[in-house]
Amino acid sequence: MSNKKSNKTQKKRKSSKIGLSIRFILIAFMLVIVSFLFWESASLFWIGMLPTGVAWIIDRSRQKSKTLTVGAMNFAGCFPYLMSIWMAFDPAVLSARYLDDPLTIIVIYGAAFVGYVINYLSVSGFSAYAVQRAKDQILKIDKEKKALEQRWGKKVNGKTVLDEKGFPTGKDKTIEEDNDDEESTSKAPA
Amino acid sequence: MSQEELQPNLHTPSNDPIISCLGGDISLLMDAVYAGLHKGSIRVCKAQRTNGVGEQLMAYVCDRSLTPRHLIEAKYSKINNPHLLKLVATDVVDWPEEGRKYVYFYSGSYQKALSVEAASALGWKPDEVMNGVVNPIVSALTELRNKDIVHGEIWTGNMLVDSVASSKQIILGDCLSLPHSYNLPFIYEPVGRALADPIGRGAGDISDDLYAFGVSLAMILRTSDPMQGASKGEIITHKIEKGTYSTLIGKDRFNGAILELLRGLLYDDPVQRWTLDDILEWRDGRRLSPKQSTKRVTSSRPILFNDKKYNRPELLAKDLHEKPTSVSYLVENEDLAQWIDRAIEDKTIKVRVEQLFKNLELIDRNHFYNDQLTAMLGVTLYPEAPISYKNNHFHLGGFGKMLTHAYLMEKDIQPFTEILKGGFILQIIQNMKMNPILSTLRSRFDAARTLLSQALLGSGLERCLYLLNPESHCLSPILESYYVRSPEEMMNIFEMLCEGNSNITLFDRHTVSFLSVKDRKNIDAYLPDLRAPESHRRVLGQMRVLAAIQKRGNLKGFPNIANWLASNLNQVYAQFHDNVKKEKLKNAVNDFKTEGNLSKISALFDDPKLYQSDMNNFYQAMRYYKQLEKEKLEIKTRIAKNQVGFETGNQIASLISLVIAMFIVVISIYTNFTG
Repeated sequence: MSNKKSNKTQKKRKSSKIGLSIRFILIAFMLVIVSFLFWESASLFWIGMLPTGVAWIIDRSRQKSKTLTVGAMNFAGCFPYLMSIWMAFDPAVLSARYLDDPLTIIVIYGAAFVGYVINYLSVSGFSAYAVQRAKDQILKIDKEKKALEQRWGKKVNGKTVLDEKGFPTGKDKTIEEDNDDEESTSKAPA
Repeated sequence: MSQEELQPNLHTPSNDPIISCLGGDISLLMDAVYAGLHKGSIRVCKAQRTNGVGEQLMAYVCDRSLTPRHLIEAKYSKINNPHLLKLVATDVVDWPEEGRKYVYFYSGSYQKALSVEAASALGWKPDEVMNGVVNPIVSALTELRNKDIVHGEIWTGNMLVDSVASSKQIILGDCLSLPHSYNLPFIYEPVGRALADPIGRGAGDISDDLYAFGVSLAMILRTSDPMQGASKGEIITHKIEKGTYSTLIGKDRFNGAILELLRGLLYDDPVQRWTLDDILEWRDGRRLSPKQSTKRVTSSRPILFNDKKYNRPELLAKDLHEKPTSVSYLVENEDLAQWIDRAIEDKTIKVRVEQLFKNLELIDRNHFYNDQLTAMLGVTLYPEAPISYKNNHFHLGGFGKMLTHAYLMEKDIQPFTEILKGGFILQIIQNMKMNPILSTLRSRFDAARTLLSQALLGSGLERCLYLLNPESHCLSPILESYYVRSPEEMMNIFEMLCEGNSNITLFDRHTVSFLSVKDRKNIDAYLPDLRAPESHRRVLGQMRVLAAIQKRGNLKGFPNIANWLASNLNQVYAQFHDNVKKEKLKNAVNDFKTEGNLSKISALFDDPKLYQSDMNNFYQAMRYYKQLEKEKLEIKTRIAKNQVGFETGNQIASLISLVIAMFIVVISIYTNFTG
């Protein structure tokens, strides 16, 4: 039964992988077609969005939050130019002019940099706050542990070998575990 | 006895010749004694009530080594007969240099008895005897029979006379201060009981009282003692060969009614002996037809034992203990079998002896064999004879008191343990004619045999002492200077001992055995706890025992015992994991100990859920502790890896940039379309 189930899941995984890659190929294919159809805007877009590509490569997180931050700002930097190209009488000329102008790249990449800055500030600020909270949490845990020890005795830490009634046998659990691989004699109910 | 009278009277030893008893109600005059009434080690002193007219009393001061007849005290105290001493009170007094002694107080003041000589010849006239002795004793015996009491000490030395009164009527003296018939001279006992040691005679029955009454009459009536100068053995032998009447009366001749009474009472066969009803009929003037006399068995040829010739099995049984080593020879060379078979034509003896030979096959041939064989053969040849084992001659009912006496007098108790351990005693009982008393004794001996081989608390020799002698006081060393007869009295003494002494050990082998015998239903359930190797279980067991006695007896509070318990409960508290619960219990115990309510203290620890929930909660706390540690470790690892708030920071950054981007896009669109 279990073999059959695992076979089924393996098959499902395989089929979903195949589905993803097909989808990816389809999207890429669509993008290529769209890029060819609107090459004036696409050339500016692809060049302008390069920092997002870099961010995507650097960002190892699953959620790709950093990519999203940089990408959003990067796109915000691109969008006014793209808007001008779309509204222009001759988009090809305007696109070439923009690409020729270093200010365009500075503005677009500057926006991407702002994204980086936002990410840095947010992460460092928030993690400092979270570390403080975690430290407070540790203090609270220590306090709770102390209260438990006061009420139930040191043996509640589980570091001593206990008899069937839960009282120390006088042996240290760590030493016992080191000496032999036998199970602890502590018989805590499951 | 009232509850107050049962309370121990706590006097301190002093040289004052007056001892104040029963809370000052009675004064016992130690130096004023009734010298003519002393019964061996029992002193009889003068006493008087301190209130009212100062009623004169007689105080019988008991011997600690001889167990009084406590079991019939209550019944006896209800008797109100002018021919019996009236028991008015009992008390335990502190006798200087001798410790605590039990005392019986009787009303009246009698200076002397008829005759303190065991064998006397008073030569009274029959008319005087009728009025002065027969009528009073018959009245007393009727009263005793109605209360189901056997007096056990009817003899001239215990027939008190009032020297002041004009009438010559006697009053029967004390029968409670000593073991049954302990002080009765052997001549007043039927042969079977006379052969036993005084302490080992055991409880007799009314026919023994009637026999003693008959002997007393003979002593009072006769003018001479035909057996004067004869030894105990000679008198008993004469009784066996010629009968009691002939032994006591000799050449004296009596006529008329008194002769009938004498003959009726002095029958050696208890079946033929007159009963109390026969005496009452005789007194009313009816003449009784003489009963068929059974002849004692005599052999046609004698048997030789210990260089003596014997013609009667009873006489042989009487002397067997003189040379136990020859008994096995007598049995094994078939002399005895042939003598029984050919010279004695009595089938019952023959059957009994054959049964003995069968039983012998079950007895181990150890170094006690000869003594065991002697004991078994003695009662086989003469069933009324006592069991004779290594110079101890006893009837089954007297064994317990004999053992207690030997124990207290620090005599060699090895023969007693041999008797209890050896199976021969049970075989002897098995061959006896069963009756309810014997059946009880059999179960006691059977239990004692098992208990003696156990070394546990509440068993062993100590338990046997109380099992076989239920009237014994507690012989525990801690109660040595007291006289404890019941669990309730023990509680009172414990209360006194615990005052300011929390280290005292109240439960030893004696106290536990005593309580277990006296209050088996309440105590035996806690015996496993009392015997437990864990000190906390022992303390809990002790607490439950004490609480059970207090509750059953509806006794007052015992603050000192409660205090003693509270100070010994540390081991019990240590059994709880929860310190909060421990504190709560301690506070509750402290609250209850001042009122001395042991049941309430015990109830605090009686709930099994108390221990179970404590353990469960402890393991739950352990799991929670582990969880906290894991959580702490996780937080520490995240801090160490600088991962704390990283993801959230990224997400917030994304959100911010998305909002800004959205804003820029909207602005761009707006400016483009609005120009």
